[in-house]
Amino acid sequence: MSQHDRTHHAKIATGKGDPQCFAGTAGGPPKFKVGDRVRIKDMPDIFYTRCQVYTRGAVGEVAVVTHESPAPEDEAWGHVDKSEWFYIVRFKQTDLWPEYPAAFANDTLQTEFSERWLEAV
Amino acid sequence: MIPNDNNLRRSPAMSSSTRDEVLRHLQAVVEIEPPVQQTGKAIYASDLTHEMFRAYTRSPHDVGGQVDVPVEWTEEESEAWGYRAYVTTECLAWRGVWCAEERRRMQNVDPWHQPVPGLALLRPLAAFRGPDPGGGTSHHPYRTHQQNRRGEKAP
Repeated sequence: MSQHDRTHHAKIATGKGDPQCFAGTAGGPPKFKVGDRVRIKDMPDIFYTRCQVYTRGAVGEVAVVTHESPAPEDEAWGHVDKSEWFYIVRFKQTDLWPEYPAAFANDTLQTEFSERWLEAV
Repeated sequence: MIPNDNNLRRSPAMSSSTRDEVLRHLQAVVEIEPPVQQTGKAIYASDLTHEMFRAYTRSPHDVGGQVDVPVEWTEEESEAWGYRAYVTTECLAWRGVWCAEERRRMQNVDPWHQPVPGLALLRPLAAFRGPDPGGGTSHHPYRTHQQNRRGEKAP
């Protein structure tokens, strides 16, 4: 029988909000800043990830440094003791999809990653 | 069609071994879950390549990038039956009744995602409650409608 406290997250987030309740818990400043070129790492995942596979290996640009929070891949397994910085990364659509029409070469796609998935280019 | 390097169109701006593997993965997912339903077969373990293993173990939460057939865009107006169904499901959700829409919003997953081909064929079994334990209208699999519980034919 699991003794997991299902209200633990509500206890720390009540009155502050999520992810505001994790502010200052990443243990340092963000590794990347807005405008940095980053490549998405292709790390193994099992059962849960929020790093879309279609972005793995693609190079994008940090659009926003958003917040600190436990990584979703850790939180899915109940590990909320370590936090990371999160970034919104902007990709060119033509870099993600080989058959994307060249007429829309200016189209971009933005999505969010925790710091573990990013490496500097 | 097993994905290989030959039927893969690369972006000249973004080519690396990781990108090649990701694009092969997206084609391998089509092998398991084709956008158009068709009869598939489970592959033998000896045919389980790295691409197919990654396609089988793809997380159902990872939505996006799946290949789909072209969809014809049509201008549709909302219809009364759709509005009534929407109101009904909203009321059921307020009452705490599980509904697919609520589940889809809570966790953005594909409810019919089938990691194993053919698993959807077992879906009707979920509604099968077994044979009726008794009574005059029993639909026992070993008895016909014309027989009673002792096997005698009805007059």
